[in-house]
Amino acid sequence: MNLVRAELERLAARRFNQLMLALLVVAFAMTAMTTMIGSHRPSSTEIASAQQAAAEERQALEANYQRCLTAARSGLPPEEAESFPEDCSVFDPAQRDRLPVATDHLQGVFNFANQARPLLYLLIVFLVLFGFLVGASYIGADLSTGGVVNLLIWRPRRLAVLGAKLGTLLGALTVVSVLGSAVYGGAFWLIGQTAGMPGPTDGGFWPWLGLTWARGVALVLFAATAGFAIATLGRRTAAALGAAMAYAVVWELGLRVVVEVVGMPRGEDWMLSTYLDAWLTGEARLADATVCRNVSGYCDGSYQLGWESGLAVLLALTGGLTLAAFAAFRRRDLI
Amino acid sequence: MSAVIEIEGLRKEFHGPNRSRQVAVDGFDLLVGRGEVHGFLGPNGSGKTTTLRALLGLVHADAGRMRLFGEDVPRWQAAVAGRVGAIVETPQFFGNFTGHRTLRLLALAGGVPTRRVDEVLEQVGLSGRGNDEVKGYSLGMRQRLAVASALLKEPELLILDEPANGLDPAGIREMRDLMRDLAGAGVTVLLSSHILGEIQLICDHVTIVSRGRRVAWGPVQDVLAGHDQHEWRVRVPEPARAAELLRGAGLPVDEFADHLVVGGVPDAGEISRLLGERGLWVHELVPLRPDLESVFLELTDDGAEPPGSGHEPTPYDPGGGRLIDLDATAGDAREARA
Repeated sequence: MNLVRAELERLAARRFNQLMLALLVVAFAMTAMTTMIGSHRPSSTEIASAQQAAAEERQALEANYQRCLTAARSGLPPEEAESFPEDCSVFDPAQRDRLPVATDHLQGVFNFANQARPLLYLLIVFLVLFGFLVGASYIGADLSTGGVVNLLIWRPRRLAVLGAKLGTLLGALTVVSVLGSAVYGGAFWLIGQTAGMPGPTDGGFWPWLGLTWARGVALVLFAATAGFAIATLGRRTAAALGAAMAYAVVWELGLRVVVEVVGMPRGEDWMLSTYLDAWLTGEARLADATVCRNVSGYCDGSYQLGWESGLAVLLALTGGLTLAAFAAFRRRDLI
Repeated sequence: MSAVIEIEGLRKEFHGPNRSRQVAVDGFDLLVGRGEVHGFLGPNGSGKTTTLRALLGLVHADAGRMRLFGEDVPRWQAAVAGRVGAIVETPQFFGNFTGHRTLRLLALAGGVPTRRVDEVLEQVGLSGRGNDEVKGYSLGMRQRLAVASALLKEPELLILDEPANGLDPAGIREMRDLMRDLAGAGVTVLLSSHILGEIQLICDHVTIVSRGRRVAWGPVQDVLAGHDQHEWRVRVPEPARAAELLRGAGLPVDEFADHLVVGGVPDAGEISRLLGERGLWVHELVPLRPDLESVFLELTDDGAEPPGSGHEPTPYDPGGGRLIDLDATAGDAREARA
């Protein structure tokens, strides 16, 4: 327990971590400020106009659905019918997640319920970046400056020391994520109440928001663990940053181009970003153009990967890295 | 006297790129008794720091046996860690932490009462700078801070690797006094240093390592006595004639501009008698005693035996473990002393 207390104080006292935390707060504040400045409470005229635009959009959706049904009954010329599938359910307005509403057509009005999804994803991106950098730097700086050696002279059980460091890091990040999310979410909720619109927050809104947020916090912890593990394996912070950059450039960009040029089936399955998406959103919706190569007419090459796949890949990746880091640290000569 | 440190046959290889390997320590032995202030000498790259790191569990030994307070390490490292204070090379500290916070975090991690922080800062002469950030410390102050960190847990064994690094003469003297105080309080000290004069002043025992192997060890005076060539500096009115006379008596003589160095004579009266009988009256007759520096240079010269040759030195044996050109080295040492 003493070790955890000492590590917690060391973590909080590190200048780099303080700087990262300050940048996180600045990023949150700037996002909230620009949102607040760019929003206003809508007038009754604006609301009426938006309601009309939404009604027209709903009518257009219904009309398109009816055209699809007509095409399915061979009631349209072949060149027009070609653009519709045999199964018109994808155009059925009743089967959409949501129908257009007036708030979609209000310009310059912040709508909390509508904007919650991108705002939450932005929050998670901030926190993931923060977690990865702090996780990598926390152990990387200690390894490269000899801080770990100092500590091991006092506490020679290597795995316990590394475990205490990782545990302290994850605990601290959870607290920062919870507090940061509460402040961030609270700020936008207030903006919605005072300088915009709260939007429809009934039904499944809060459960969805809570579930996605929890997945996001788990992702922050995965990222921090990965940063910590790679920096441990590479003995310095730069190893984690370099590995992340190399992966992004070589794999996510380079391999993606190769996959597209070669026409590899389900190339997206090889990208980590696919599983991040699947985990965070609950389901990654992907398209595989190769299945439509010899298909004339409408071809839906889409497929889905569920959150279970995302979780499995993230667990395997961070678990593997962590095991490798602990094994290497246990046997490593600290010189 | 019970042993605090026992190392037998320690071997450590480091593997480099292209499957290259470097033997850092090769069959090294070390014995440090309770209450000793033990000097640990060796040139750069001789394996001192690797040995200390292995003893502290920071480096995994390839072979050999190590014990601290009678307990096998690294197996029982955790059991004895609380009794050992150590600094290995110059420890780095976070620059934006104060000296006080640096020590407090270590004390907290090690379960040591934090009141010890002020005590050790006082002990190493940093009490006035404890609340300053470490980045503002000089090299000598950082070294003091490192020593303070080693003293925090009131160790029974203190292992210090180059503690005088960066210290000015006054600081070195304070460090020497601190070592003496600690030794007086019953703390066993293993002190690695390049400042041989300090080792000779502070330490009662010494181990000299060269190329990963022990080449001399024992009480400092015994090691020095083992290397005493019974040499004398002689000033006479006719040095050339005197040299001829002494050589005629079977004594080795080196001639210098204004004096002779005569070896192999335990009793100075023999030289006086030989020269006096021929009417040469000695102006000056000074014994040339070996100091630790000359012994160190002699034993750790570049021509020393490489590791793995199978030659095992014996304690206090002047020739033990060396394959150097003794004549050339002894001549250099004599010239330096003359």
